[in-house]
Amino acid sequence: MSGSAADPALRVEAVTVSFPTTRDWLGRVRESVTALDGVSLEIPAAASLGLIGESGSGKTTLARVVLGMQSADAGAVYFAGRQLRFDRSRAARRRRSEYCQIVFQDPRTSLDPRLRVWEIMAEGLAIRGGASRPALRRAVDEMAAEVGISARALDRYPHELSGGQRQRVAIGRALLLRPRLLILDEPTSALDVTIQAQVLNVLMDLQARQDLAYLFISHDVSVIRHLCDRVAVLYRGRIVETGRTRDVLEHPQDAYTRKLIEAVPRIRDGGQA
Amino acid sequence: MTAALEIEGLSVSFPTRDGWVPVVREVSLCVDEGEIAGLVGESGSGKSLTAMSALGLLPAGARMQCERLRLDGESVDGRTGREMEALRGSRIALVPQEPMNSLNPTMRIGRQLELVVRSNRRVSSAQARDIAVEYLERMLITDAARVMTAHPFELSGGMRQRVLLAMAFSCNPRVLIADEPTTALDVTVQQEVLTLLRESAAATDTAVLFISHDLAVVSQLCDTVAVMRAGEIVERGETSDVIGRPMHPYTRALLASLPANSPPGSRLPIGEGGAAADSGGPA
Amino acid sequence: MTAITDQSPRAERRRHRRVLSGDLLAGSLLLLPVVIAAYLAPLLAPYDPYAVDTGSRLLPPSAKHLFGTDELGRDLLTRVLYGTRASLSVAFGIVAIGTVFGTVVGTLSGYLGGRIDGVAMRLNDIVMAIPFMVIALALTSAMGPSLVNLTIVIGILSIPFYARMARGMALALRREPYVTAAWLMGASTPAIIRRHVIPNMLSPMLVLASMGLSGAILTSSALSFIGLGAQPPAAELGAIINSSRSYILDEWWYTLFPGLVLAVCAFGFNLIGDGVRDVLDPNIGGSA
Repeated sequence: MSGSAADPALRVEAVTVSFPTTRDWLGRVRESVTALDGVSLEIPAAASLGLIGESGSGKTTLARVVLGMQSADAGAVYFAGRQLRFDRSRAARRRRSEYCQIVFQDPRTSLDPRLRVWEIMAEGLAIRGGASRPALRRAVDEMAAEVGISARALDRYPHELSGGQRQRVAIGRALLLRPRLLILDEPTSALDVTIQAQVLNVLMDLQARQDLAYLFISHDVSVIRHLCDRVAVLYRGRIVETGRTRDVLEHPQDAYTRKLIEAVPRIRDGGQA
Repeated sequence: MTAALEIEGLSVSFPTRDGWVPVVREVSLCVDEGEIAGLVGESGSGKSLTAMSALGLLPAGARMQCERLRLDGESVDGRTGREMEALRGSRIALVPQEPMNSLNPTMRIGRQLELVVRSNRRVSSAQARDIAVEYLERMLITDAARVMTAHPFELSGGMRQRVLLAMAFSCNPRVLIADEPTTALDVTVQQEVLTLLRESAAATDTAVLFISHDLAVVSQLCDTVAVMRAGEIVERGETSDVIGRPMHPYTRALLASLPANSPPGSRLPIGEGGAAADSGGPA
Repeated sequence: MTAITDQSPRAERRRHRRVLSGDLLAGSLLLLPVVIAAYLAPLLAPYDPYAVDTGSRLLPPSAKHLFGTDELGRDLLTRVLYGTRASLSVAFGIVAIGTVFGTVVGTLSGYLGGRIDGVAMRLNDIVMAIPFMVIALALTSAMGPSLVNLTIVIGILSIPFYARMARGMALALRREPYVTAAWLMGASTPAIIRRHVIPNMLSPMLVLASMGLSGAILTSSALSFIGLGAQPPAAELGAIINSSRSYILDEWWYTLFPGLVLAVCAFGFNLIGDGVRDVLDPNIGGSA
């Protein structure tokens, strides 16, 4: 992997994406909606950036652009200093998967129900070929220990595991390819609060041990506050505010950010209005 | 202060290959007129089923037993489906979690509201529509006329939830069950919907049973809260007491595991939770 | 009332636990003896299905001939056993051709989309638009009536139905996050289809195949009935019933037994189809 350790894990530069909404009878685009408008952000190596956005903000589109699933009309994406262009070929996808992986929101649909857990985790390595089954299993065993999945669970099927365990399987699967950046798309929103705590602990432990950066997309401000050093607020395709988490959350400058933070329910233990 | 909803000794079980499995065990709770009572628990705690029992809407095959179930002082346990139907809407109403699944996608909003109103009040079609518009406006929908002619997919999540609130309140129920009504909504929209819920309930002195897994929301909205775990209520009381000075270890564990209650970047305490040992095999 | 979703692992295991279904059991009890007896025909049959015995024409059921005899003195039980074997083989053949080719066409069409999908579906539409019986008649007459040709023709004509279903499933599976995850990791399209798409289609396809068997056996018997399938003296349920037409009023056993076996097969396949669906897809019609 090229790029020095000092390069940011991810750099998004002025990415713009629009989708056509109406075409004329010749197929030319008449109207379009802009999902992302000149979005730029940067995540230093081994750091975490929280991305707060409500529905329609463009956060899903942004994730898709970074993952190489969506082409941008303008702008570029750099991983560890190296630009990767939109390319759907297998070789390009493999290359990108070594820089960047994703953990999805719903643990019930992100794992193939017909495969055993260890096979699911090993898929990334198996695709690259060359490793024997025992070697793959060994690699999976090591990763399972890091994310807190017991050896027994590895031989089971996803539906036999709880939501928290499945999310850890998803994290393990993503990390087996040793990416420098992990995109987490609302990874704990579907989990109970106590299970969420376990998964967050795993994420923090992993980051402490490895050169791993997070792009943490969430609507839960308290989770972002806990996990991320920096935060960016996305509103209607634009980054309206970005900065250190504590600064943004305690002294928001932008009107939308202020409205958002004010709307977040806070634990009130001294009686309510 | 009369109790609008009284549940005493409620148990619900489901048949499985290994026999009857209890999912709700001897639960008792009580909501007064004008009170907003929270029912908090993680998944599998039985909180939704408890509320559904009060509505008479348990899934097929479930077995329910309770010592007492009273709506507005009137005993309703042992009522048949038809009898419960008469009460639903007019005495007790539901605001469900997924607005998209609760509205008929092929029917215009106006017609759906009209049907609900007319099934609970003896009014004409035109009067029902007027009532519908009135309630939509009470839920702060400014262009109610346009919404009446729209289909559910044309509206945003927040709008749909407001329509469901309007539907629930339109027949002046004495008890309102809100089953995680804002879980699927954005935070800013959630705030609006919760404010609407609180104000509408206050205006009509409706008793609200608010079910949620979100302790923060419950702490802001509810006067009292009951914490459920594995089918039982482990702690209950005034919200400020339960949240501020939790006594039961489970409640403490729940509150402690919230990121908001720990310094940023620190390991979150994972004491005894709803699923105690989640690292090994199946729970 | 579907709004309650209990997501705890215990509830999910409960949902996956249904192993036995009443329909499956009933269907199997009905069908298994028939299928086994039919395929063991050479061992079980008391007589030779082609042995003509003009002295024993049209005898009613007796100890010597459990199902009676036909107009050429051939033992009906033997004829029915061999005939059932033939009918079942045709039905299995039809469904095999339909599901295998239908799955391949439908999956490629649904997963790859674009022009391949367009062409495949238009061909599908063309085949489905032509009245089934008309084209079946035309083709089997042109190819020469025989059981093999019958199997091929009906098999091919049933491909569009399975292709449609497979395409729908492939379209849905394409969007599943675990498929996206594999794609992102750099898996090739054939690998994704082989590892993730087709295995997750097997259960619904199995249900379709089970139900398809019922229709297949009826259709093939119907075509044999009008003379397009088995040619005399070959035994096949539809052909036997055809021969029995002239004798139906007085020699009731001649029509009854093959007809009964045919009905049992069709009904049994239906029950098994419902039962397989109950077992493999417990989310339909039942909660908790």
